[in-house]
Amino acid sequence: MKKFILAGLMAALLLPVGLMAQSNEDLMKQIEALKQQLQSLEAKVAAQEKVVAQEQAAPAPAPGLEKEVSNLDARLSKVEVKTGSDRINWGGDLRVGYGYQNWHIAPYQQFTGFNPQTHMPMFQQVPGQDWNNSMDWSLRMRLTMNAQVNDNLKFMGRLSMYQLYGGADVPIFNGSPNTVLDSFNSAKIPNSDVLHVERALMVYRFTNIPFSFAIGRMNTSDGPPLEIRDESERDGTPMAIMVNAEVDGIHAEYGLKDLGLPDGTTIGMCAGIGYESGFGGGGQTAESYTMTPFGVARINGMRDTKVVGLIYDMPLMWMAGNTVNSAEFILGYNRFNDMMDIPYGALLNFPIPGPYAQSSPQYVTATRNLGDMDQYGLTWEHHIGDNFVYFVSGGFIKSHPNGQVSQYGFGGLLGDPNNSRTGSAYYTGVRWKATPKWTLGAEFNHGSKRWYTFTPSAGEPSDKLAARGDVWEGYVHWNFNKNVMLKMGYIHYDYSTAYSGWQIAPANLDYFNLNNNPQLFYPFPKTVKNAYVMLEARF
Amino acid sequence: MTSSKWIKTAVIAAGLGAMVAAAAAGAKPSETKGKYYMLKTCKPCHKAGSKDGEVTPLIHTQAQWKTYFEAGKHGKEELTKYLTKEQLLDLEAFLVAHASDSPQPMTCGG
Repeated sequence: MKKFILAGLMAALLLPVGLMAQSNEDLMKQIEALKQQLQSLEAKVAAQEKVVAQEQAAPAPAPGLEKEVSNLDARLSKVEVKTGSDRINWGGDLRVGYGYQNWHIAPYQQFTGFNPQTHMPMFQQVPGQDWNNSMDWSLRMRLTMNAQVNDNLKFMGRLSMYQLYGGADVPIFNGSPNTVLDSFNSAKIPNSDVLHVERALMVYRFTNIPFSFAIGRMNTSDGPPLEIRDESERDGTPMAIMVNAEVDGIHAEYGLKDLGLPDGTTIGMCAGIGYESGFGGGGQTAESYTMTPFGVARINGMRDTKVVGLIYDMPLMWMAGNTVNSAEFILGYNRFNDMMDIPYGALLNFPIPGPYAQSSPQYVTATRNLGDMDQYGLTWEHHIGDNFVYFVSGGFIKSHPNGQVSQYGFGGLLGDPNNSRTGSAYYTGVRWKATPKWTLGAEFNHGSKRWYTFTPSAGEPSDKLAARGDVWEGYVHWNFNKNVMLKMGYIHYDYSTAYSGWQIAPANLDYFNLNNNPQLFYPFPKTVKNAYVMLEARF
Repeated sequence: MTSSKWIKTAVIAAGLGAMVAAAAAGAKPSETKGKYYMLKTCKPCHKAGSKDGEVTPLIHTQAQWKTYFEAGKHGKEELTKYLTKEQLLDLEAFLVAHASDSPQPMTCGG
């Protein structure tokens, strides 16, 4: 027992010695680690001291620099506040034009009224005549605007002013001095709240599907291919040969890329109102009466003119050798329902000076719905490289009259209230940018004798795409400075048939061949020659 | 042909010749090619709703696009990784011409 006790005591005495030897080794290791850490820290401190020394050795800020930075900060803050509070981005263009026009009216028979005994229409022979305007200045200003309301919603708009120098607004004078209104005082007399809104629409784009819709006063004017002659970007959705008008409506569009079609391909559907028969349209939804050249006419429950349309839009882009080709292929269809009997159309549609053609002092309103019309269109634009582009555009219409005629004597749809009639047109042209500053272009369009298109917003004295006949145009653009262009051109119209731009005619349009001394309500020109020079700045 | 007609013909021919010569000499960057490179190279990643963010000419001003191409960087990478120097000049011409402060910003419909 004693042996066990002794052995235990010996072990207890020897154990701390062993542990002590092990602790010394650990301590040495820790000391080594600490030395390494210390060296590392010394190196870091040395590097820091070097940086500090370099900073201290750097030149002091130039006198006034801090003040200048402070000033810049203050100025930038103002800019940021201004930019942040700007709700609308503005742009626009200003165009001053000079034109020479010659309108030749071939011999025709002027309607002079009805024989009181026989009630037959009476006509008087009018010889050929020319009407010249050798100095025709015009001014057009357009202010474009847009605002990104949120990630999905965008507002777009355009305000426009377009007038002839020296009295484009028809002077009105009823004998009292304070009734004189013309372009010289239109902006200075406190009598009107008119501001011309050419476009005002909201565009909503969905995030997860390629779908968008737009509503408001649409971008339905100056569409393709008119941007080629204008040397600008595409400016409207529908083809110019089908619609060139300020249409209030809605447009929905779906992207078709997921179907394997080229990026940007869309199918769109639009709807608009072509005539409001109730409030604001001058007509009445209920039965009422209006004055016509033939006496009092009864207006009986007019319906609105509705328009619905489809448009397929496919952009293409490909490389051929070292040349990039881009193209646009557009197909369109419109249906005009319940068209009425007031002619749409550009300035050509209303009387030009003639022996019996006087401006009417009285505004008239629609009296009848005349039927429906189908309209088809196709456009192909092909840009070859940066400098050459050609286009082809075509249209076809078919009327569906309902047997009604206008109570003004304007007749039925396309001059035939009882039979469906068709018309067609084509439009082609080229543009070549010969140098960075000079551009040359030529265009031709032809419309058949029953051609009709809805283009009242063409902005030309005689809407060329509505012409029944042939129209040639040649132009030269001189881009003499950035964003400034001088446009020089000549348009030659050769009309075959009267009432161009009208969806109605008093009788079968075969009777209104301008070469055959037709019987007409108004004089219509046989040829129009229009030479122009325009200075245009875009900003 | 009378002498005056010869003179007119000569003047027109000289004018057309000068234009053709100028067109041939003017090898400036091509906006059309720039648009092509934009669609083929940039758009696949930078389309609407993508994680890399949509890129259109309208996201910058003309000056900002010029600065961007001067720097030549696409994030930390060189722009030349994606397009050649000549192609970048074309792309820059397109983006600058349709930037947010250009006279006619390229719109996307509506």
